[in-house]
Amino acid sequence: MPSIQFGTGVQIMVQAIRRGAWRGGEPNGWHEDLVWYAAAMHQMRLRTPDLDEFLALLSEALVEGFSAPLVDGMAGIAAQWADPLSLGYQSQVHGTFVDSSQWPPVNGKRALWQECAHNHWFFLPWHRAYLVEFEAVIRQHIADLEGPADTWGLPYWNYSDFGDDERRLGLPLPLRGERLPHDVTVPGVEPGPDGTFPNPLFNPVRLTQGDPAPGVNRWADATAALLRPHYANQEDTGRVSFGGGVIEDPGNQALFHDRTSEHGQIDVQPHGSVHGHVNGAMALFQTAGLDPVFWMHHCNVDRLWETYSRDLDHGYPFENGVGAGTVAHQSWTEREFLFLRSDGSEATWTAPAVLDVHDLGYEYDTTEPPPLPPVPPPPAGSENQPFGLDVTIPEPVAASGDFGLDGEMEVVAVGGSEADRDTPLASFPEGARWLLRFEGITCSRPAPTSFDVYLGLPPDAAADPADPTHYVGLLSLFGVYEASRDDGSAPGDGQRRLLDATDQVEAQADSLHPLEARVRLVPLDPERDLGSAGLSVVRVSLELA
Amino acid sequence: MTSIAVSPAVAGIGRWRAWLHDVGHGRQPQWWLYVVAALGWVLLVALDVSRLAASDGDGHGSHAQPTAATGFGVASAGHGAGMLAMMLVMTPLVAWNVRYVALRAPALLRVAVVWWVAGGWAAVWGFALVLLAAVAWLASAAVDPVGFALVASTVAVWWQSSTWKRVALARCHRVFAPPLSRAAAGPLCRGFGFRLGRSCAVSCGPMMLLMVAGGHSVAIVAPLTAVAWYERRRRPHHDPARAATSLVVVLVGAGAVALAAVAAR
Repeated sequence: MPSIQFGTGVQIMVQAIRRGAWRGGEPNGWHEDLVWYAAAMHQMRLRTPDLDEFLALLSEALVEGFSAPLVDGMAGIAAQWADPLSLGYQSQVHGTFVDSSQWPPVNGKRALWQECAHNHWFFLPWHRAYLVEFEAVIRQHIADLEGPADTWGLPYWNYSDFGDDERRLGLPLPLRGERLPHDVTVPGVEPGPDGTFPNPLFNPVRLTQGDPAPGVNRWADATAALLRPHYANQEDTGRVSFGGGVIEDPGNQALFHDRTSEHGQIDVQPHGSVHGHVNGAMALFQTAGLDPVFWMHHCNVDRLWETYSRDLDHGYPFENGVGAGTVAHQSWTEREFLFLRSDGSEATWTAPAVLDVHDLGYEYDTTEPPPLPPVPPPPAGSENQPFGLDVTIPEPVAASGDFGLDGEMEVVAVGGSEADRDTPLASFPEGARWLLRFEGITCSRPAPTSFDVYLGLPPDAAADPADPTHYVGLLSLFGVYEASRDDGSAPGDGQRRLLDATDQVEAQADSLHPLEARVRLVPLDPERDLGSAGLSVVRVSLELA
Repeated sequence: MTSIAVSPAVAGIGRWRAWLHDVGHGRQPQWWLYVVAALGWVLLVALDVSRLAASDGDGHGSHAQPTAATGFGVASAGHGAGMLAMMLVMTPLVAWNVRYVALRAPALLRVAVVWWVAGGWAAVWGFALVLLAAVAWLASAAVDPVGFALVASTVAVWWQSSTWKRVALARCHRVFAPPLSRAAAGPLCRGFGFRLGRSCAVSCGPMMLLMVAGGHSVAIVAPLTAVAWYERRRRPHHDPARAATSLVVVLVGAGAVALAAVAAR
């Protein structure tokens, strides 16, 4: 059983259970773990100077655009967040607007910010380590409030196992109201001038606040991720894995933080799609951690990793020894994740060090997967190691030109000459995998929604996500804005996405002409302001591997 | 959880084997850029050796350096070759970008795509090197080689922390997906290579000027190439490497000034 050493000198042994926010508890949604989460969050907000001013600037930027004065204003405020026990500091570990030369000192060391990992196979282990460090901070606040620090576990938002209860698709009730319910007491929270108690779990800039829209659940759906047959794929294999693409060069910071494009399916959906759906602070790397729902969301993503590895028997990478000694294994073992703690000490994690959740001092109330269709068998030899060293590079057979994305959009990807366009699927290699690749996705402010993607849908046909013949999957856009910035903070050429369209191509064997393939994109939240996001795509291509 | 360890030596060999395996399977269509860079290094070493031999021949016992009277020698054949070599050793810096673009193209076009992108990139650098030579030539009318090395060092160090450098360095990570037809892909790939070269030239131009001031001696080019390589492996932003790279540039600049001073004696 691990122990947590607090900065105050207190050492406690921890074995906690992380519980679902939407499982049991009081009718108002509050349970003890959420009460103590709120109590700690309140303390963390108190240690975050000018948080309300920051959120006001963020709110303005989300509407008006991220102009230099607004970004500088947020950076100026965030530069004060030097206390690792504050919400501000912890949020900036994920991302920050503050230039590294302005990062504040912490007990004689420079803050360790902007460390998040996305778009590759370290996405899950890095965020697991991040949650463990964050949970320790929360426990320290709970201990200071004389609460149950040694048994408290971070609650998770169990949107992905909504089943027949679409209530779970909505934000957990304790995160919704600006004020605490009358029958809920959160230790340490004082009443305001009007006698009511502020809710520390509320964030005013979310686009999603109330009950979910009926029937729209793709943003929360983990099915596509849990059905992926392997955890990771070698770079450029054109495979979509659960956790993301291998980085073979663990010391390359540019790859680790910015430049990879081998997203894992769970990174895209539900991880990225939930960020986009909740929106507000959650829409940006630099601000997501300021919303209490961020931590509960990532807790669920972490739980889904445990589900995939244990309940669905995929195991963790290299756990069974297969692939040991390879370059990928070396990378997996060597890459370090660094976090600065409040006492100035540096915590160093690696991916192998976070694979056993019991060693980390927690378990989940359940990791049972949501109802899934039959799981296809994994490709030979791929189950417990990165997949695809000998797989041929995908061949693009049809591609579109560039297009804007301010609402529903249909594009035609074409290949070959005019005379080739009606070439039937039978002319292509049997058993090939088919992919839809989106290149050069950029936007001028955070994307307000994700898009449903359909392949081969006739122009006059209605788009139906329950149609397995044409519905390919969800294009979520979390991180696109950050990669689109051309101010020296990013390359400015946006991001890329890959969807596996093999099932849809095979289902349309009699009607699809791969050299003239229609791709339709339908916004998940059409009521939101899509036009001002300036979304565009350089190319969508249909590829076979 | 596995506890199988990988020794660095075995891992290093494994990395090379994996890379060669990739080359053999068409996964590294940009591989010849590394060969070009190797040729560049050979050329730089050969130039250093020939200069050393020439200086020993005059009995001075020091590296022969260009002088103000000869426009820092930028118009000589040896320096022309040195300038070319400086560009060649930089080619691996864009290998990642070139590979990305090539792999987004149909297999039949991938080799051509590498040529197109690298060609666009090299065209910019060719122009930039002529510009640098012109700057050196003009500077020779105003300052001696020591002064030129001092000015070039100062500019290169200042540039490391400038906003222009940061933006250009970030853009050096850009990639591109070309159209599928040869006719459409060629111009667009060359254009992408041109824009990539422009970003690279803006990012590293002052360091290249310092290389010119240092007579493109391997002792000057090697550490500055290492700085450029290191920068490409860091994050385009929020990275504490600026102070470290500036320090290296200062040291290299001091070396360039010292080389010029010794040659001037």
